[in-house]
Amino acid sequence: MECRVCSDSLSALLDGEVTVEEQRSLEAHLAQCPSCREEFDSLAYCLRLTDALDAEAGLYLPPFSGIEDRIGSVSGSFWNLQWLVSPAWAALAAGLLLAVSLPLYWKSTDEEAVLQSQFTSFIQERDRQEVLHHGIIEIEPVGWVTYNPFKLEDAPARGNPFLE
Amino acid sequence: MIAPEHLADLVGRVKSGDVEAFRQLYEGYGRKITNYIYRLTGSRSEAEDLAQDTFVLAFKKIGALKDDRKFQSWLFRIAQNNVYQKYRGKRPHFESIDDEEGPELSDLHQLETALKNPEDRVLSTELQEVIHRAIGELSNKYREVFVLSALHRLSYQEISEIVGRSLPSVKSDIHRARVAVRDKVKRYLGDNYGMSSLF
Repeated sequence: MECRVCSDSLSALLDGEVTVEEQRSLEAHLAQCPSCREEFDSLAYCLRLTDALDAEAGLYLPPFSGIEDRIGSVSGSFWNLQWLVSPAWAALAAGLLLAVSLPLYWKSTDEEAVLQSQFTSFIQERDRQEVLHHGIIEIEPVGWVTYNPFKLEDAPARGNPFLE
Repeated sequence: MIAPEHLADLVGRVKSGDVEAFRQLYEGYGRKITNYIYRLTGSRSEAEDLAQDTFVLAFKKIGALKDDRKFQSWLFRIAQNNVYQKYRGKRPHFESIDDEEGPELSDLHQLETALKNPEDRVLSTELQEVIHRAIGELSNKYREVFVLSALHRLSYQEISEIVGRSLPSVKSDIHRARVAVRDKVKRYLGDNYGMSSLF
């Protein structure tokens, strides 16, 4: 093993993050390479120093009450939507949504049918009026609109067969 | 340390809004998280505030945690994001030791006392400060992996999940960070470096 390869893996060896095979070959190299051995011992020593440092951090852990006060308002609020996390609540919410939206869908379908019927009646009445007043007999099938009946200028020119 | 099976139970309870379960998680991880933030920011008061923010955010977002066993990594990641969001690219203030020529007489005396008392396992305050500042002088990328590996002893896999980098990259960064810290401490301690009586 080259010293460079060994050196790059020394921290991983210290942390037990090498495979059994890697460990074996690293240890074999360390046993016969004083320079890499010294590097390994040096890194190991620094790790022991930092271990001691961590124990001496002496940080103050704020009491949980401070956090509890802040999350209290979160957990007590309906609008945080945390309750949606529960599968039972999610199923209930989905059911309610379905129950509300289906009648709306059906209602809209009914409204469309009524509108369609009114429109058909309108076209029939329009055609009837045209036959009565202008003598047009070549009327288009009911339900087809080729122009806007409310805008007379859009209407195609139709001749009166009795006057021609 | 909370046992894995107990952890999953606690996290499950917190997900359904159990504040008492969250208190247990706070007692299990509060000091670790505060310590991690302290090592990233170099400020105790900042660490305490940000640790509180981390736990409040964790409580709010715990529903998004898919694998309950990864609670620790997830929590560290929230803490880290909080720190970077707070500093927004600015470097946390750590005093530099590069300008120092060496320890002052009082510090040398303190260090000597520690060296002469092998039974005394407490590191001198000055040496702690040196290590602390050496960590502070690392770039963010190296500092976070150094703290997670050397101080918190997390596995490389966990560290990779927290910092969001690949395993080989984490392995390489950890080694470089350790060498950098070692060099600074070694420079400070001089011939005393490697003396077992420090422990």
